Parts: sequence; C-alpha cells; structure tokens
Amino acid sequence: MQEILRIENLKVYYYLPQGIVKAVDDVSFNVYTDEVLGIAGESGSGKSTVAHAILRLVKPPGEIIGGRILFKGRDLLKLSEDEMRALRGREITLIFQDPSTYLNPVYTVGFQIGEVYEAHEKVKPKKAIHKVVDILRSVKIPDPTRRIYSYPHELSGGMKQRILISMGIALTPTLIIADEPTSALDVTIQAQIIELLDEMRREIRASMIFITHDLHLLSEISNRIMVMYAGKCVEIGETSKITSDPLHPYTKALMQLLRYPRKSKLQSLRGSPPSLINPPRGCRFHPRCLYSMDTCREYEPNIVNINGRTVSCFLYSGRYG
Amino acid sequence: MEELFPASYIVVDMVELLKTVNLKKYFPVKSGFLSKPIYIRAVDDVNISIKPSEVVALVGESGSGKTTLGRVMIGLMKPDSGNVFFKGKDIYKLKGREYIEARHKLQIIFQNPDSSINPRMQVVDVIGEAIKELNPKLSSREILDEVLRLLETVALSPDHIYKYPHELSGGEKQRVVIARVIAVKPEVIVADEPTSALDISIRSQILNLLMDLQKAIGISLIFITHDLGIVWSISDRVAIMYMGKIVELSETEEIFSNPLHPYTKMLIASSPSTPIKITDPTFKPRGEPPSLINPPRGCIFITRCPIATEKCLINSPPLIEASRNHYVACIRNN
Repeated sequence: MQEILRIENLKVYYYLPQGIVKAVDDVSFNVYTDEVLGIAGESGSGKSTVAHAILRLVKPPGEIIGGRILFKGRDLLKLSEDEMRALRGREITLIFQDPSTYLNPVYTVGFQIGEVYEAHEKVKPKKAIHKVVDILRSVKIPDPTRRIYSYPHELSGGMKQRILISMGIALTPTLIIADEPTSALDVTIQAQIIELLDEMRREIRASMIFITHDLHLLSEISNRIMVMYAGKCVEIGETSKITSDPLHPYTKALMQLLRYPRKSKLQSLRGSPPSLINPPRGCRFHPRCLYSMDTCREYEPNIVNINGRTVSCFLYSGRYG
Repeated sequence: MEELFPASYIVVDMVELLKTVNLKKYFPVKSGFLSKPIYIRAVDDVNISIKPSEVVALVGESGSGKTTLGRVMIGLMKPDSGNVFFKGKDIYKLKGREYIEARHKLQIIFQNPDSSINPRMQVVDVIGEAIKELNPKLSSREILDEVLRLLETVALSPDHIYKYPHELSGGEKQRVVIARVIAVKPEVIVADEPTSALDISIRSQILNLLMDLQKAIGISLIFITHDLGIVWSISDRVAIMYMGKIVELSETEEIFSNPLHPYTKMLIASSPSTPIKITDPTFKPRGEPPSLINPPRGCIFITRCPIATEKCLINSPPLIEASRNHYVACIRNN
C-alpha cells in the first residue's frame, strides 16, 4: 500500500487569554491510497483541528506549532500560501458538518459550484454550466438543469450536503476529508449521504479521512480507525480489530458505551473529558481509567506498536515497548 | 369515516394516565390579507395513551412533529382541535388551582439545558424556585435541605450549590435540570432529546440517572429521540412518527422484531446503533420527507415508500390494530 499522507508529531495550540489550549498534541498517523481512515473522538478531542491543520486552515488564536504534514512527499507546512491555495480543493478537499454555513445564501448553487471550475480550471462561465449539471447529476440531485438556479434556502439539509459533496469532488481530489458530514442530518438521510460519499470516493479513486463521534458509523465505512482523546491519538488499528478487540482502555470504554442492552443499565464512563488548558499530569485519560497505575499519573505513555496496531498506554509498554 | 375515531384503537388495558384524542396542532406559515392562510400540520390527528410508570419513546426525524406532540401533551401549547386528558380531565379546560397542579404533574426536560436554566441564577435558586413553587410555606433553611437532597439524588456534590450555570459542564447542567423537574413531584415527564447535545461518555450517565429515577419514583416517561439504540435500551413502547402522524405504535420488542410500516423498516435499516438489523434491500433508505406545506395526497409516506400501490394514493390510512397491541397506518398490512 502506498502512503498518500503522513503526519508526524503534529502540534496545534490555541493561545487564549485563559491559557494555552493544546488541541492537538503530538499526533502522528498516515493515510494510504484508496483507504478510508476514520477518526473517532468526543467533542474537544482535537479531531476537527487535525482536519483543519492538514489544509492549513487553523485560524488565530490557533497555530500549528510543530510537526510535519507530508502529502505525497511534500511538507504542506513549508508551502507558500499560493501553493497551498492551489492545492485546496484540487488535491485535498474538506466537507463540513453543516452545509448551510458553507454555502453563500445570496448566490444560486449552480453559480457557487461553477466558481470551483472557473477558479481552478479557468473554465468560462458558459461552459462551466454543463460541468455543473453533470456533477449534480452524479451526486443524484433530481432535475439538475433546474436545480442549478436554486438558492441554498430552497434546498433541504440532505440536498445541501449533496451540493457540498459535488463541490468537494468537482476537481477529483486525491484526499477527501469529511468532518462529521452527516451529524446534522436525519438517520434515513445520513445513510444515503454516506453511501453517496463512499460511491463518489471510489469513482474518483480518492482516499478519505472520515471524522465522527459515531464509532458505529465508522465500523461500517472505514478501513482503519484512529481514536483521539484530549488532543492525543490513543489508538490506531484496522476497523475489525478496533471494534472486536480494543486495546486502549478509552477505546474499550467507547465500545462498551455503544452497546445498548435491553432494559438494563447502560455502560458509562466516570468523570468528564479534561480541560485542555490544564490537562492531567501523565496520561490524559488516567483520571477516568479503570486500569490506571502509579506510572500513569506521572509519565506520558509512549506509542507502542503491537502487530501493526498503535496504542499509547502503559498497560502494553512493559511487554512491547 | 376517517374523521370518526374508531373505538377499536383506544388502549384500555390499564388505567390511562395521559391520553390524547384526535389531537391536532397546525402552525400558520403564511397568511395574507385576502389569501387563505397556509398551515403546517405539525401534529395531525394523534391518539396515544400513556400508562402509569411507562416509558414511551416518540421516534421520528426532524419535522415529524414529535417535539410539538410532546409539548401539547403536557399543556405547553394549546392544540387546534382534540383533547389531552390527564387522569380523565381535559388539561386545556382546567382552571385555577387544578390547572396549576396538573402543570406540576406534567414536566418537560429540554434538549439544551442552557436554554432552560437562567444564567444569572445559582444552582440553589434554580432548584429552590421549583421547590418553593410546590410548597410556598417552606423556610429558606428547609429549601436548602431539600436542594441538597435533590442534588444527591442526581449525583451532584454539594459544592455545586452556589455555582452559576456557566461554571457547570453540559452533563452537570442537565442534572440540575432533572433535579428541578423532580422537585415538583411530577407524574409524567416529557424528555425531549435530553442527551443529544451531550458527548457519548456523558450521555449514558444521564440516561442511567433518568431511568433510575423513573423506576424509583414510578414516573411515566415520554422519551423523544431519533436514536433507535436508546429506544431499544430504555422504552416499553414505541410510537413512530412521520409528518405529524403516528404511523406505527407497539411494544418495543415487537416493533424491532416485527416492524410493519415501511417507514419503520427504513428507520431500522438506516440506524447503525440498533442490535437488530434489516438487510432487505427493498427498505434501503431513499428520498427525503416531502414539504410539510404541501403534503402528498393519500398516504403521507407515498413519496418514499418502496411498496406503494395505486390504492395508497386514494386516502390516508388510519392507524389500526394489526395484531394485539400493534397499531400500524399502512394499507399494505391489512
């Protein structure tokens, strides 16, 4: 398998008046060609910040303060702003959670998709229309010749997400980053959008990073899963292994939380996610961990490789570290 | 015939605590000076009854009217027609003391705790206010004791008592809301997606708390959600709503093991979190709900239904009993 993206020791900090928020702290992972990598985590775990960092869209007070983002061998953090702009949309694309925030309410959707072609491929507006109709047809929007004249407010949430997907894949990128693309949608619509996204991805042979808090969803679509907790990557592995035999206590807890026993107590995880300004000393998960040891309170665990899986926990470092 | 309320589908196994009869709530969306106003049928002819100590899940997608139904059922919104009976009395016809008492007995927990707690009040006052409402003669010492007792019930430590809402986490705020709701000793609680704004690790804490309280006090719980995993885990009965109507109603095990309405099947098929899966490609989710302003003729589900026939165009099927205690509104099941 070929590697398309490699992230090494990425650090993204937000400098707030209250202190420094270590949103992403020393995270490393990679994405292979034709692969779907799922990133799972609760709110504040840093999963969206990773997505924004890859495209260098982290806005002040946030800052990428360290690490390397190697995309097809090039370090994106060393590119100029112009080079980066040319790359966004054409090579790497981002599909957001809430489509209405990213569509301009005063322009027709046809115009907005057309802009993608005009800006990147220097296509004349008249020719762009045909391309827009074609791409709308491929994302299964009914009656595309009429729909290009619709304004965002005339469309449903599912339809708007289809428009956003069409803009995302218009230039056949090689990496799609989908940041909770369906969490604002109803379940029956969600299933359709996920299917469409996966179909489109296969068609243009792109890799995908799929970010969500829903491990159930990831178990259905991703090849590998990375679990994040409080700005750290705690475990990476193949989907079937993560779901059937989770190693990290947090992943174990997450898998337990997803089970819905009939008429009996749901599994729960004590405590709540830590503050990222003052994260706990040692392992960031130790105050909630059922297996925490003295070492966990003092030192940060190293990353351990076990049979092609990566886990960051002292339970395993003794034997495998 | 449709307008008549067929007596066959009133459930009268047990004492009915709360019952709706032909409940309708329409919202005007457009009204001109001369033109006829256009209405959205948020709740359209709903009949459901809630037994004591029962957990009923109201399931539907956004716009299905589940929130509106919940609000109308506890007296927060006057219906356009139809009645809501609480212990045999129409709550919208109650006056004075009786009305206030009924409102105490019927409580609601909202999705977003921020919008239901006054940001300028400390926890002690948020809960104390509710205690005072029920028992105006209590001294402030007695109120404080009661607040502490309630905080213990919802597993919050006493050091939260003088905190302001912004100093609490989302889960803690929802606990305060629950404490305030049970302060007035309700008999029915409508929980309107109380955990959908919370993180997964906090969600099960709150769900467990709610279910513990429900069992301990014996409250009837109307749980509004779109998460079928939660429905499977906590509810006794399930009502599936689509565009303002209940399309299927039955006991939880029955709904999941033997769903009858095509919409229910589609919901189960598209939900990743349910233990029971539907793999029949016929019921693969498709389409989107039609506009509420311009609902389709005949059966409301016809635009997305994989098994619709010409007969479905004729009229909207009533909710009828297909098997014991299993009600469905679909002519393909008769």
